[in-house]
Amino acid sequence: MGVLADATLTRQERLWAWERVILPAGSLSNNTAEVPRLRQGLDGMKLLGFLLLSAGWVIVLSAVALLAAAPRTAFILAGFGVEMLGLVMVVRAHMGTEPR
Amino acid sequence: MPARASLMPDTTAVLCLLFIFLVPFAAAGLALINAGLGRSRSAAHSMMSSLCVLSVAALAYFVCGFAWQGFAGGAAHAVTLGGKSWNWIAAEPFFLRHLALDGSRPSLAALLGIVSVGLAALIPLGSGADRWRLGAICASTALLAGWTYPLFAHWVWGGGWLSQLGTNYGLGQGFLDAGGASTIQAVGGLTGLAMAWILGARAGKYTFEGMPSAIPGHNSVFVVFGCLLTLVGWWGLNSAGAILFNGAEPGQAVLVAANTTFCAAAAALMAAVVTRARFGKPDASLTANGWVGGLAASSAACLFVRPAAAAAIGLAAGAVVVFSVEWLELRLSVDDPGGAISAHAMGGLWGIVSAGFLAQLPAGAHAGQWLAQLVGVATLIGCVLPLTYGLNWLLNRFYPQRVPPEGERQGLDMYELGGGAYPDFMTHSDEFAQRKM
Repeated sequence: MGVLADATLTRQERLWAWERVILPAGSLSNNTAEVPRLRQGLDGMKLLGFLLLSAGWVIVLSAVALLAAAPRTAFILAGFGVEMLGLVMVVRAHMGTEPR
Repeated sequence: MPARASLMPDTTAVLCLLFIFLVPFAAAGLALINAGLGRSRSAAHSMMSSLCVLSVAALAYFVCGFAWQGFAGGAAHAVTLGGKSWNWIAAEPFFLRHLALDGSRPSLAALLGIVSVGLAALIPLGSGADRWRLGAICASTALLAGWTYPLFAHWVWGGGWLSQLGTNYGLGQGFLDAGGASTIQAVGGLTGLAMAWILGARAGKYTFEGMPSAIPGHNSVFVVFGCLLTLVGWWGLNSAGAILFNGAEPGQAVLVAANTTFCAAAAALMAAVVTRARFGKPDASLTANGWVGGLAASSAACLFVRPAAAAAIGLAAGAVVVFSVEWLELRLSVDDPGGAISAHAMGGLWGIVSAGFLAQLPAGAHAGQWLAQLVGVATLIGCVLPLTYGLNWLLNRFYPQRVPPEGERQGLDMYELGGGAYPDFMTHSDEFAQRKM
């Protein structure tokens, strides 16, 4: 599987080759050890992104429920910021799994 | 027979009922738009899916959806946080038991829910077009109509914690959404985003270099006629929502209908102008997406703004939708054939935010309104998106949602239904010839 060892390919291109070429063909070689790691990395990134999304929402809820008016706005904005960070991670993780 | 509760004046109830009867036009419009923006070899599948989605959604909502959505003042589960009551989920009986279907406010809310949940469930069909299996569509719709939609609709329309942000925490008048920019449009649009991620792009959509290939819709006439139908449906949707959930007088339906129209018109014109400026000619499908985005954006604030503000919301929505379509396709590798994510999610979210700044509320009631709207947006992104993604991801693990490559190559009409939408015409599937799979 030279394509997986080809250093000129990007990480996403190698992942694409894994998903679209090697897996359907059902053949593996000793060079493919890296690919599941890439796959797991992207899955972990997705999971972390969704955790950040949920964590941001919990921060927003906590700020609404527990804080007085003055710091509430700042914490709601901070929670929203955490959500945006999570959204960026989820989006980036999904871009890695698209064919490129 | 259950007692008749929360009676409205007869004229108001009749008018509200008539508005609810208009909402299926919006569903018909969206179904046509989705079919027109998809490929010809999946057109019958698209319309068949729309019919199945409406059926499954109505039944799922009947079985358990309304029980969890409930209505303001109805039975609900609440917890106390920081000394305030947080109303999380309704506790009505399943199968609409104990609900008198007699023109009372709860019965009209249930009827509106039955049709609007179908509308929300139609939205993801646009983003999953040409590759989503019919059985999986039905299963996914059951999850949306039976759980995700009712949960969020309870928070906004059923007396839940988002609607109580004003009375409990002094955030304006609580989360404002008269016609469903959040409950219907954003929930449907975010589910569409989740489905686009889970299903992946259509075969042949992206080259090895990552460049997207244009796969144009097969029937612009369907798309534009669908846009006209959606306007009628949105008049009913926004007016019925304003009366039922925001206590609007029947006469205010004039303001609601005018605002809805101005918002959609401004958005469509802005989309046409932007595409004309960027590509040399106005683009029909993006203009249609702009129109729908304007309608989605109008739903939140249609009762609370003057017509000039509604037009301004629409102008911004048109630009947001056009740039969002391009951004998703070119930069984020999200294949959304129907533009559902941009039109419904982005349009709906923009409508929610704009309501926080532009709503004309009684003196003293405006403070913190933008913050209430922001909490609603944070809930959609931080709770509804992970929830709907997680449910559909789980479903995908047990019941793969994407058709096999052969089905996609053949077209969903032949592969899943055994017959095409246009049997008298020969269709050519040579789009894959120059691309690698």
